[in-house]
Amino acid sequence: MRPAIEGWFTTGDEPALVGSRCGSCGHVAFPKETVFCKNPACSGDEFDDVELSRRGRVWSYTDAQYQPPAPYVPRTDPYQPFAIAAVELPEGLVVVGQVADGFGTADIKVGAEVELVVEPLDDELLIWRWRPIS
Amino acid sequence: MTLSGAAAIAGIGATEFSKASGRSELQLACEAVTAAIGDAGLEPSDVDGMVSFTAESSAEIHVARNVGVGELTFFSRIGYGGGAAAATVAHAAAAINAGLADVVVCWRAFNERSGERYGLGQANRPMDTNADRAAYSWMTPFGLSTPAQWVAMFAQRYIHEFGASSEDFGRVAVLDRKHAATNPHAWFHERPITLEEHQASRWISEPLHLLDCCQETDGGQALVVVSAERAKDLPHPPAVVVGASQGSGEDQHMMTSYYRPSISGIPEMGLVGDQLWQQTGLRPSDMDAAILYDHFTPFVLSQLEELGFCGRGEAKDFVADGHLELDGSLPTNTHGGQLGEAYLHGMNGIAEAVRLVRGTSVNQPGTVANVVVTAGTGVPTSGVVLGAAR
Repeated sequence: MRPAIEGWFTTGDEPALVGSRCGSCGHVAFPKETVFCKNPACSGDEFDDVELSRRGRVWSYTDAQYQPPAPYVPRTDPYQPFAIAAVELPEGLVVVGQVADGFGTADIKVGAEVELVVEPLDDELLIWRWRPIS
Repeated sequence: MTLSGAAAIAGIGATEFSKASGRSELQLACEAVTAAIGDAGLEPSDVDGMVSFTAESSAEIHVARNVGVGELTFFSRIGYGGGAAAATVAHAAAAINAGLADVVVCWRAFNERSGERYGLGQANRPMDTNADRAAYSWMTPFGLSTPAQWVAMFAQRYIHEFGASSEDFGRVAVLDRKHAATNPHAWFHERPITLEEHQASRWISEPLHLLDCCQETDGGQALVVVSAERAKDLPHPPAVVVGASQGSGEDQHMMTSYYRPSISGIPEMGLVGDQLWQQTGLRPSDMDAAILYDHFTPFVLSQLEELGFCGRGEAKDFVADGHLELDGSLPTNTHGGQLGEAYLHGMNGIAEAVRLVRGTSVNQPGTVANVVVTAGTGVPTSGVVLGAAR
Protein backbone atom coordinates (compact mmCIF):
# COMPACT_ATOMS: atom_id res chain seq x y z
CA MET A 1 0.00 0.00 0.00
CA ARG A 2 1.22 3.49 -0.82
CA PRO A 3 -0.20 7.04 -0.50
CA ALA A 4 -2.49 8.09 -3.34
CA ILE A 5 -0.30 11.18 -3.68
CA GLU A 6 3.29 10.79 -2.54
CA GLY A 7 4.45 13.41 -0.07
CA TRP A 8 1.05 14.84 0.87
CA PHE A 9 0.70 12.87 4.12
CA THR A 10 2.62 10.53 6.36
CA THR A 11 1.47 7.03 7.26
CA GLY A 12 1.91 4.89 10.35
CA ASP A 13 0.29 5.07 13.79
CA GLU A 14 -0.04 8.85 13.86
CA PRO A 15 -0.39 10.00 10.26
CA ALA A 16 -0.41 13.70 9.41
CA LEU A 17 -0.89 15.95 6.40
CA VAL A 18 2.36 17.51 5.24
CA GLY A 19 2.18 21.21 4.49
CA SER A 20 4.72 23.99 4.12
CA ARG A 21 5.70 26.92 6.32
CA CYS A 22 7.02 30.05 4.64
CA GLY A 23 10.49 30.99 5.83
CA SER A 24 9.64 34.70 5.54
CA CYS A 25 6.16 35.12 7.01
CA GLY A 26 5.39 31.73 8.55
CA HIS A 27 2.26 31.22 6.41
CA VAL A 28 1.21 27.56 6.43
CA ALA A 29 -0.13 26.02 3.22
CA PHE A 30 -1.49 22.63 2.23
CA PRO A 31 -0.63 21.00 -0.07
CA LYS A 32 2.86 22.30 0.42
CA GLU A 33 3.95 25.35 -1.50
CA THR A 34 7.16 25.11 -3.51
CA VAL A 35 7.37 28.26 -5.62
CA PHE A 36 5.86 31.43 -4.14
CA CYS A 37 4.23 32.05 -0.78
CA LYS A 38 0.40 31.98 -0.97
CA ASN A 39 0.22 35.03 1.27
CA PRO A 40 -0.32 37.90 -1.21
CA ALA A 41 1.56 40.27 1.13
CA CYS A 42 4.68 38.07 1.20
CA SER A 43 7.32 37.51 -1.44
CA GLY A 44 8.84 34.51 0.35
CA ASP A 45 10.11 31.64 -1.76
CA GLU A 46 11.71 29.33 0.79
CA PHE A 47 9.65 26.81 2.66
CA ASP A 48 10.02 24.12 5.31
CA ASP A 49 7.90 21.00 5.44
CA VAL A 50 5.56 20.99 8.42
CA GLU A 51 3.25 18.27 9.70
CA LEU A 52 -0.23 19.74 10.26
CA SER A 53 -2.30 19.16 13.37
CA ARG A 54 -3.83 15.70 13.35
CA ARG A 55 -7.01 16.97 14.99
CA GLY A 56 -9.43 19.63 13.81
CA ARG A 57 -13.08 20.58 14.05
CA VAL A 58 -15.84 19.95 11.53
CA TRP A 59 -16.33 23.18 9.59
CA SER A 60 -19.25 21.72 7.62
CA TYR A 61 -20.28 18.41 6.11
CA THR A 62 -22.64 16.64 3.75
CA ASP A 63 -22.99 13.20 2.22
CA ALA A 64 -23.37 11.48 -1.14
CA GLN A 65 -26.73 9.73 -1.43
CA TYR A 66 -25.88 8.61 -4.94
CA GLN A 67 -22.68 6.96 -6.11
CA PRO A 68 -20.32 9.65 -7.44
CA PRO A 69 -18.59 9.09 -10.78
CA ALA A 70 -14.88 8.43 -11.26
CA PRO A 71 -12.34 9.48 -10.10
CA TYR A 72 -14.27 8.62 -6.92
CA VAL A 73 -13.48 5.02 -6.01
CA PRO A 74 -16.52 3.11 -4.68
CA ARG A 75 -16.09 2.00 -1.07
CA THR A 76 -18.87 -0.57 -0.91
CA ASP A 77 -20.70 -2.87 -3.30
CA PRO A 78 -23.64 -2.37 -3.36
CA TYR A 79 -23.24 1.36 -2.94
CA GLN A 80 -23.94 2.91 0.45
CA PRO A 81 -24.07 6.68 1.12
CA PHE A 82 -21.02 8.07 2.89
CA ALA A 83 -20.17 11.36 4.59
CA ILE A 84 -17.74 14.09 3.52
CA ALA A 85 -16.39 16.71 5.91
CA ALA A 86 -14.58 20.02 5.56
CA VAL A 87 -12.38 20.23 8.65
CA GLU A 88 -10.82 23.35 10.13
CA LEU A 89 -7.35 22.82 11.57
CA PRO A 90 -5.81 24.96 14.32
CA GLU A 91 -3.44 26.32 11.65
CA GLY A 92 -6.48 28.00 10.06
CA LEU A 93 -6.71 25.70 7.05
CA VAL A 94 -9.88 23.94 5.92
CA VAL A 95 -9.22 20.50 4.45
CA VAL A 96 -11.88 18.39 2.73
CA GLY A 97 -11.95 14.63 3.16
CA GLN A 98 -14.22 11.64 3.47
CA VAL A 99 -15.36 10.58 6.91
CA ALA A 100 -13.66 7.39 8.12
CA ASP A 101 -15.00 3.91 7.46
CA GLY A 102 -17.79 2.95 9.80
CA PHE A 103 -18.94 6.54 10.45
CA GLY A 104 -21.67 8.63 8.77
CA THR A 105 -23.48 11.95 9.06
CA ALA A 106 -25.15 10.74 12.27
CA ASP A 107 -21.72 10.57 13.92
CA ILE A 108 -20.59 14.14 13.21
CA LYS A 109 -21.82 17.67 13.68
CA VAL A 110 -20.44 21.10 12.95
CA GLY A 111 -17.80 21.96 15.54
CA ALA A 112 -17.16 18.35 16.56
CA GLU A 113 -13.55 17.22 16.90
CA VAL A 114 -12.19 14.76 14.35
CA GLU A 115 -8.83 13.10 13.83
CA LEU A 116 -6.92 12.34 10.65
CA VAL A 117 -6.62 8.66 9.78
CA VAL A 118 -5.15 6.96 6.73
CA GLU A 119 -7.28 4.22 5.17
CA PRO A 120 -7.21 2.17 1.97
CA LEU A 121 -8.74 3.79 -1.11
CA ASP A 122 -8.53 0.53 -3.06
CA ASP A 123 -6.21 -2.49 -3.11
CA GLU A 124 -3.17 -0.33 -3.70
CA LEU A 125 -3.62 3.28 -2.58
CA LEU A 126 -4.04 5.02 0.77
CA ILE A 127 -5.91 8.28 1.42
CA TRP A 128 -6.61 10.47 4.46
CA ARG A 129 -10.01 10.47 6.11
CA TRP A 130 -11.54 12.19 9.14
CA ARG A 131 -12.56 10.02 12.11
CA PRO A 132 -14.96 11.33 14.76
CA ILE A 133 -13.51 11.37 18.28
CA SER A 134 -16.00 9.74 20.57
CA MET B 1 -23.09 58.84 -18.80
CA THR B 2 -24.75 56.67 -16.18
CA LEU B 3 -25.92 53.13 -16.77
CA SER B 4 -29.02 53.55 -14.64
CA GLY B 5 -32.03 54.10 -16.88
CA ALA B 6 -30.09 54.06 -20.15
CA ALA B 7 -31.56 50.84 -21.51
CA ALA B 8 -34.69 48.75 -21.25
CA ILE B 9 -35.87 45.23 -21.98
CA ALA B 10 -38.39 45.59 -24.78
CA GLY B 11 -39.00 41.97 -25.71
CA ILE B 12 -39.07 38.51 -24.16
CA GLY B 13 -39.48 35.14 -25.81
CA ALA B 14 -39.18 31.52 -24.82
CA THR B 15 -39.76 28.01 -26.01
CA GLU B 16 -41.87 25.62 -23.99
CA PHE B 17 -40.11 24.27 -20.91
CA SER B 18 -39.88 20.47 -21.00
CA LYS B 19 -37.85 17.43 -20.03
CA ALA B 20 -37.21 16.36 -23.62
CA SER B 21 -37.42 19.05 -26.29
CA GLY B 22 -36.83 16.66 -29.16
CA ARG B 23 -34.73 19.22 -31.03
CA SER B 24 -31.28 20.74 -31.01
CA GLU B 25 -30.02 23.38 -28.59
CA LEU B 26 -29.40 25.63 -31.60
CA GLN B 27 -33.02 25.32 -32.64
CA LEU B 28 -34.19 26.14 -29.10
CA ALA B 29 -31.94 29.22 -29.14
CA CYS B 30 -33.28 30.34 -32.51
CA GLU B 31 -36.90 29.86 -31.48
CA ALA B 32 -36.45 31.86 -28.27
CA VAL B 33 -34.48 34.64 -29.97
CA THR B 34 -37.01 34.91 -32.80
CA ALA B 35 -39.88 35.06 -30.33
CA ALA B 36 -38.20 37.77 -28.26
CA ILE B 37 -37.46 39.93 -31.32
CA GLY B 38 -41.07 39.55 -32.41
CA ASP B 39 -42.33 40.45 -28.92
CA ALA B 40 -40.26 43.64 -29.10
CA GLY B 41 -41.92 44.59 -32.39
CA LEU B 42 -38.56 44.44 -34.17
CA GLU B 43 -37.07 42.50 -37.07
CA PRO B 44 -34.03 40.20 -36.84
CA SER B 45 -32.24 42.64 -39.13
CA ASP B 46 -32.56 45.31 -36.41
CA VAL B 47 -30.32 43.31 -34.08
CA ASP B 48 -26.66 44.32 -33.93
CA GLY B 49 -25.59 42.87 -30.58
CA MET B 50 -25.80 39.45 -28.93
CA VAL B 51 -24.88 38.32 -25.43
CA SER B 52 -24.95 34.85 -23.94
CA PHE B 53 -23.19 32.52 -21.50
CA THR B 54 -19.82 30.86 -21.99
CA ALA B 55 -21.79 27.72 -21.17
CA GLU B 56 -24.02 28.27 -24.22
CA SER B 57 -23.42 25.69 -26.93
CA SER B 58 -24.69 27.80 -29.83
CA ALA B 59 -22.35 30.61 -30.78
CA GLU B 60 -23.70 34.01 -31.79
CA ILE B 61 -22.77 33.48 -35.43
CA HIS B 62 -24.86 30.33 -35.69
CA VAL B 63 -27.91 31.88 -34.07
CA ALA B 64 -27.46 35.05 -36.09
CA ARG B 65 -27.31 33.25 -39.45
CA ASN B 66 -30.27 31.05 -38.64
CA VAL B 67 -32.66 33.75 -37.47
CA GLY B 68 -31.71 36.41 -40.03
CA VAL B 69 -29.54 38.68 -37.91
CA GLY B 70 -26.90 40.32 -40.09
CA GLU B 71 -23.89 42.28 -38.95
CA LEU B 72 -23.00 42.31 -35.28
CA THR B 73 -21.06 45.17 -33.72
CA PHE B 74 -21.15 43.87 -30.15
CA PHE B 75 -21.05 40.32 -28.79
CA SER B 76 -19.91 39.00 -25.46
CA ARG B 77 -20.11 35.87 -23.34
CA ILE B 78 -20.23 35.64 -19.58
CA GLY B 79 -18.86 32.81 -17.52
CA TYR B 80 -19.77 30.96 -14.34
CA GLY B 81 -22.95 29.13 -15.28
CA GLY B 82 -26.13 30.71 -13.99
CA GLY B 83 -24.10 33.55 -12.49
CA ALA B 84 -24.14 35.04 -16.00
CA ALA B 85 -27.90 35.54 -16.26
CA ALA B 86 -28.38 39.14 -15.13
CA ALA B 87 -24.93 40.00 -16.43
CA THR B 88 -26.19 39.45 -19.98
CA VAL B 89 -28.50 42.41 -19.42
CA ALA B 90 -25.68 44.37 -17.76
CA HIS B 91 -23.40 43.85 -20.77
CA ALA B 92 -26.20 44.69 -23.19
CA ALA B 93 -27.14 47.86 -21.34
CA ALA B 94 -23.49 48.91 -21.05
CA ALA B 95 -22.94 48.33 -24.77
CA ILE B 96 -26.01 50.35 -25.69
CA ASN B 97 -25.04 53.10 -23.25
CA ALA B 98 -21.56 53.21 -24.80
CA GLY B 99 -22.91 53.34 -28.33
CA LEU B 100 -21.51 49.95 -29.33
CA ALA B 101 -24.88 48.54 -30.35
CA ASP B 102 -28.55 49.54 -30.63
CA VAL B 103 -30.50 46.30 -30.31
CA VAL B 104 -28.96 43.53 -28.22
CA VAL B 105 -30.40 40.04 -27.81
CA CYS B 106 -29.53 38.07 -24.67
CA TRP B 107 -30.33 34.39 -24.61
CA ARG B 108 -29.74 30.97 -23.09
CA ALA B 109 -30.93 27.65 -24.51
CA PHE B 110 -30.11 24.07 -23.67
CA ASN B 111 -31.27 20.50 -23.37
CA GLU B 112 -30.28 20.38 -19.73
CA ARG B 113 -32.49 17.39 -18.95
CA SER B 114 -32.37 15.28 -22.09
CA GLY B 115 -28.78 16.26 -22.91
CA GLU B 116 -25.95 17.26 -20.59
CA ARG B 117 -27.35 17.26 -17.04
CA TYR B 118 -25.61 19.85 -14.85
CA GLY B 119 -26.88 18.21 -11.69
CA LEU B 120 -24.44 15.38 -12.29
CA GLY B 121 -21.62 17.81 -11.60
CA GLN B 122 -18.21 16.79 -12.80
CA ALA B 123 -19.38 13.36 -13.89
CA ASN B 124 -16.69 11.77 -16.03
CA ARG B 125 -15.42 15.06 -17.37
CA PRO B 126 -11.67 15.39 -17.77
CA MET B 127 -10.06 17.28 -14.90
CA ASP B 128 -6.68 18.10 -16.31
CA THR B 129 -7.45 20.13 -19.42
CA ASN B 130 -7.69 23.62 -17.91
CA ALA B 131 -7.56 25.54 -14.65
CA ASP B 132 -11.35 25.64 -14.25
CA ARG B 133 -11.59 21.88 -14.38
CA ALA B 134 -8.48 21.35 -12.30
CA ALA B 135 -10.07 23.42 -9.51
CA TYR B 136 -12.76 20.76 -9.16
CA SER B 137 -10.14 18.13 -8.53
CA TRP B 138 -9.96 19.42 -4.94
CA MET B 139 -13.49 18.04 -4.51
CA THR B 140 -14.33 15.38 -7.04
CA PRO B 141 -11.98 12.55 -5.97
CA PHE B 142 -13.56 12.63 -2.49
CA GLY B 143 -16.97 12.04 -4.02
CA LEU B 144 -17.94 15.70 -3.51
CA SER B 145 -18.89 16.15 -7.10
CA THR B 146 -22.37 17.61 -7.60
CA PRO B 147 -23.93 21.07 -7.23
CA ALA B 148 -26.36 19.73 -4.60
CA GLN B 149 -23.45 18.51 -2.48
CA TRP B 150 -21.50 21.75 -2.91
CA VAL B 151 -24.48 23.77 -1.71
CA ALA B 152 -25.21 21.28 1.07
CA MET B 153 -21.85 22.07 2.62
CA PHE B 154 -22.81 25.77 2.85
CA ALA B 155 -26.30 24.91 4.07
CA GLN B 156 -25.08 22.71 6.92
CA ARG B 157 -22.91 25.54 8.17
CA TYR B 158 -25.83 28.00 7.82
CA ILE B 159 -27.98 25.71 9.95
CA HIS B 160 -25.25 25.54 12.56
CA GLU B 161 -24.59 29.27 12.77
CA PHE B 162 -28.15 30.56 12.69
CA GLY B 163 -30.19 27.75 14.20
CA ALA B 164 -32.02 27.22 10.94
CA SER B 165 -33.62 23.91 9.96
CA SER B 166 -34.56 21.92 6.91
CA GLU B 167 -38.10 23.25 7.36
CA ASP B 168 -36.76 26.77 6.87
CA PHE B 169 -35.40 25.74 3.49
CA GLY B 170 -38.63 23.85 2.83
CA ARG B 171 -40.74 26.98 3.11
CA VAL B 172 -38.96 28.35 0.02
CA ALA B 173 -39.69 25.10 -1.82
CA VAL B 174 -43.38 25.30 -0.86
CA LEU B 175 -43.64 28.99 -1.83
CA ASP B 176 -42.13 28.52 -5.27
CA ARG B 177 -44.26 25.46 -6.05
CA LYS B 178 -47.35 27.38 -4.93
CA HIS B 179 -46.60 30.11 -7.47
CA ALA B 180 -45.76 27.52 -10.12
CA ALA B 181 -49.08 25.79 -9.52
CA THR B 182 -50.95 28.67 -11.17
CA ASN B 183 -48.42 29.15 -14.00
CA PRO B 184 -49.35 27.11 -17.10
CA HIS B 185 -45.73 27.20 -18.33
CA ALA B 186 -44.39 25.69 -15.10
CA TRP B 187 -43.38 22.08 -14.59
CA PHE B 188 -45.16 22.19 -11.23
CA HIS B 189 -48.34 23.64 -12.79
CA GLU B 190 -51.33 22.53 -10.70
CA ARG B 191 -48.97 20.66 -8.38
CA PRO B 192 -48.48 22.59 -5.14
CA ILE B 193 -46.56 20.81 -2.41
CA THR B 194 -46.80 20.85 1.37
CA LEU B 195 -44.04 21.25 3.92
CA GLU B 196 -44.73 17.67 4.99
CA GLU B 197 -44.13 16.48 1.43
CA HIS B 198 -40.90 18.46 1.39
CA GLN B 199 -39.76 16.82 4.61
CA ALA B 200 -40.73 13.38 3.35
CA SER B 201 -38.91 13.75 0.02
CA ARG B 202 -35.70 11.74 -0.20
CA TRP B 203 -32.29 13.04 0.72
CA ILE B 204 -30.10 14.13 -2.16
CA SER B 205 -27.24 15.27 0.06
CA GLU B 206 -27.88 16.22 3.65
CA PRO B 207 -29.36 18.68 4.52
CA LEU B 208 -30.92 18.93 1.04
CA HIS B 209 -34.06 16.99 0.22
CA LEU B 210 -35.16 16.31 -3.36
CA LEU B 211 -37.68 19.18 -3.16
CA ASP B 212 -34.91 21.63 -2.19
CA CYS B 213 -33.50 21.14 -5.69
CA CYS B 214 -34.53 22.95 -8.87
CA GLN B 215 -35.79 21.50 -12.12
CA GLU B 216 -33.73 20.04 -14.91
CA THR B 217 -35.09 21.65 -18.05
CA ASP B 218 -34.93 21.65 -21.84
CA GLY B 219 -35.75 25.03 -23.32
CA GLY B 220 -34.66 28.49 -24.35
CA GLN B 221 -35.25 32.03 -23.14
CA ALA B 222 -34.30 35.29 -24.84
CA LEU B 223 -34.53 39.01 -24.05
CA VAL B 224 -34.22 42.08 -26.28
CA VAL B 225 -32.49 45.15 -24.85
CA VAL B 226 -32.65 48.58 -26.51
CA SER B 227 -32.11 52.15 -25.35
CA ALA B 228 -34.77 53.37 -22.93
CA GLU B 229 -35.61 56.08 -25.46
CA ARG B 230 -36.24 53.61 -28.28
CA ALA B 231 -38.17 51.30 -25.99
CA LYS B 232 -40.85 53.97 -25.58
CA ASP B 233 -41.80 53.52 -29.24
CA LEU B 234 -42.11 49.73 -29.06
CA PRO B 235 -45.31 47.79 -28.31
CA HIS B 236 -44.83 46.85 -24.65
CA PRO B 237 -44.26 49.03 -21.60
CA PRO B 238 -40.46 49.07 -21.20
CA ALA B 239 -38.78 47.26 -18.35
CA VAL B 240 -36.10 49.86 -17.69
CA VAL B 241 -32.70 48.61 -16.56
CA VAL B 242 -32.52 50.76 -13.44
CA GLY B 243 -29.42 48.98 -12.19
CA ALA B 244 -27.16 46.14 -13.32
CA SER B 245 -24.03 44.71 -11.74
CA GLN B 246 -21.67 41.77 -11.49
CA GLY B 247 -19.72 40.50 -8.49
CA SER B 248 -16.97 38.05 -7.67
CA GLY B 249 -15.88 37.79 -4.05
CA GLU B 250 -12.54 37.33 -2.35
CA ASP B 251 -11.22 33.78 -2.52
CA GLN B 252 -14.01 32.95 -4.97
CA HIS B 253 -14.51 29.37 -6.09
CA MET B 254 -17.20 27.77 -8.23
CA MET B 255 -19.77 26.75 -5.59
CA THR B 256 -17.03 25.56 -3.26
CA SER B 257 -15.74 28.73 -1.54
CA TYR B 258 -15.22 26.77 1.67
CA TYR B 259 -11.94 28.46 2.54
CA ARG B 260 -13.31 31.86 3.48
CA PRO B 261 -13.48 33.04 7.10
CA SER B 262 -17.24 32.43 6.95
CA ILE B 263 -19.34 30.26 4.63
CA SER B 264 -22.77 31.13 6.02
CA GLY B 265 -23.06 33.93 3.48
CA ILE B 266 -22.37 34.50 -0.21
CA PRO B 267 -20.44 37.81 -0.28
CA GLU B 268 -20.36 37.97 -4.07
CA MET B 269 -24.13 38.59 -3.93
CA GLY B 270 -23.60 41.26 -1.30
CA LEU B 271 -21.23 42.92 -3.73
CA VAL B 272 -23.85 42.77 -6.48
CA GLY B 273 -26.50 44.22 -4.16
CA ASP B 274 -24.32 47.05 -2.87
CA GLN B 275 -23.69 48.18 -6.43
CA LEU B 276 -27.37 47.96 -7.35
CA TRP B 277 -28.46 50.14 -4.43
CA GLN B 278 -25.64 52.60 -5.13
CA GLN B 279 -26.42 52.84 -8.87
CA THR B 280 -30.14 53.19 -8.45
CA GLY B 281 -30.42 55.24 -5.30
CA LEU B 282 -33.02 52.70 -4.25
CA ARG B 283 -33.10 50.54 -1.14
CA PRO B 284 -34.36 47.03 -0.53
CA SER B 285 -37.58 48.45 0.88
CA ASP B 286 -38.22 50.13 -2.49
CA MET B 287 -38.53 46.75 -4.22
CA ASP B 288 -42.09 45.69 -5.02
CA ALA B 289 -41.05 42.15 -5.92
CA ALA B 290 -37.99 39.93 -6.21
CA ILE B 291 -36.81 37.10 -8.42
CA LEU B 292 -34.14 35.29 -6.41
CA TYR B 293 -32.05 32.58 -8.04
CA ASP B 294 -33.22 29.30 -6.58
CA HIS B 295 -31.27 26.33 -7.91
CA PHE B 296 -31.26 25.18 -4.27
CA THR B 297 -33.41 26.62 -1.49
CA PRO B 298 -30.73 27.51 1.12
CA PHE B 299 -29.17 30.24 -0.99
CA VAL B 300 -32.52 32.04 -1.27
CA LEU B 301 -32.20 32.71 2.46
CA SER B 302 -28.61 33.88 2.03
CA GLN B 303 -29.64 36.24 -0.76
CA LEU B 304 -32.31 37.93 1.34
CA GLU B 305 -29.57 38.67 3.87
CA GLU B 306 -26.86 39.66 1.38
CA LEU B 307 -29.21 42.05 -0.46
CA GLY B 308 -30.29 43.67 2.79
CA PHE B 309 -33.94 42.59 2.97
CA CYS B 310 -33.23 41.30 6.48
CA GLY B 311 -30.29 40.89 8.83
CA ARG B 312 -27.82 37.99 9.06
CA GLY B 313 -29.52 34.84 10.19
CA GLU B 314 -32.96 36.46 10.04
CA ALA B 315 -34.06 35.15 6.64
CA LYS B 316 -35.72 32.07 8.09
CA ASP B 317 -38.05 34.29 10.11
CA PHE B 318 -38.49 36.72 7.22
CA VAL B 319 -39.71 33.84 5.05
CA ALA B 320 -41.82 32.23 7.76
CA ASP B 321 -43.53 35.57 8.41
CA GLY B 322 -44.89 35.53 4.86
CA HIS B 323 -42.94 38.40 3.33
CA LEU B 324 -42.35 36.45 0.10
CA GLU B 325 -46.02 35.65 -0.47
CA LEU B 326 -48.00 37.47 -3.19
CA ASP B 327 -49.62 39.64 -0.52
CA GLY B 328 -46.37 40.07 1.45
CA SER B 329 -43.89 42.93 1.44
CA LEU B 330 -41.67 41.26 -1.18
CA PRO B 331 -43.56 38.91 -3.51
CA THR B 332 -40.84 36.52 -4.69
CA ASN B 333 -40.44 34.12 -7.58
CA THR B 334 -43.97 34.77 -8.79
CA HIS B 335 -43.45 32.44 -11.78
CA GLY B 336 -42.53 29.55 -9.52
CA GLY B 337 -38.79 30.03 -9.81
CA GLN B 338 -36.38 27.42 -11.03
CA LEU B 339 -37.75 25.08 -8.38
CA GLY B 340 -41.24 25.27 -9.85
CA GLU B 341 -41.25 26.74 -13.35
CA ALA B 342 -38.04 25.75 -15.10
CA TYR B 343 -34.29 25.79 -14.75
CA LEU B 344 -33.22 28.14 -17.52
CA HIS B 345 -30.04 29.33 -15.81
CA GLY B 346 -31.95 32.29 -14.39
CA MET B 347 -33.02 33.79 -17.72
CA ASN B 348 -36.66 32.79 -17.23
CA GLY B 349 -36.60 34.80 -14.00
CA ILE B 350 -35.56 37.94 -15.84
CA ALA B 351 -38.46 37.39 -18.25
CA GLU B 352 -40.80 37.09 -15.27
CA ALA B 353 -39.46 40.38 -13.90
CA VAL B 354 -40.30 41.99 -17.26
CA ARG B 355 -43.84 40.60 -16.99
CA LEU B 356 -44.12 41.98 -13.45
CA VAL B 357 -43.18 45.45 -14.69
CA ARG B 358 -45.61 45.09 -17.59
CA GLY B 359 -48.29 43.91 -15.17
CA THR B 360 -48.81 40.62 -17.00
CA SER B 361 -47.50 37.95 -14.60
CA VAL B 362 -49.95 35.12 -13.97
CA ASN B 363 -49.37 35.90 -10.29
CA GLN B 364 -49.28 39.69 -10.58
CA PRO B 365 -49.08 41.07 -7.04
CA GLY B 366 -50.19 44.59 -7.99
CA THR B 367 -48.23 47.40 -9.61
CA VAL B 368 -44.51 46.66 -9.71
CA ALA B 369 -42.43 49.80 -10.11
CA ASN B 370 -39.16 48.07 -9.17
CA VAL B 371 -38.12 44.43 -9.08
CA VAL B 372 -34.71 42.99 -8.24
CA VAL B 373 -33.52 39.90 -10.10
CA THR B 374 -30.48 37.84 -9.15
CA ALA B 375 -28.36 35.29 -10.98
CA GLY B 376 -26.59 32.08 -9.95
CA THR B 377 -25.51 31.69 -6.34
CA GLY B 378 -22.29 30.31 -4.94
CA VAL B 379 -20.53 31.48 -8.11
CA PRO B 380 -19.40 34.85 -9.51
CA THR B 381 -22.79 36.35 -10.13
CA SER B 382 -24.89 39.32 -11.20
CA GLY B 383 -28.14 41.17 -10.59
CA VAL B 384 -30.45 43.74 -12.11
CA VAL B 385 -33.16 46.07 -10.93
CA LEU B 386 -35.87 46.45 -13.56
CA GLY B 387 -38.47 49.14 -13.29
CA ALA B 388 -41.29 51.02 -14.95
CA ALA B 389 -40.43 53.89 -17.28
CA ARG B 390 -39.24 56.95 -15.38
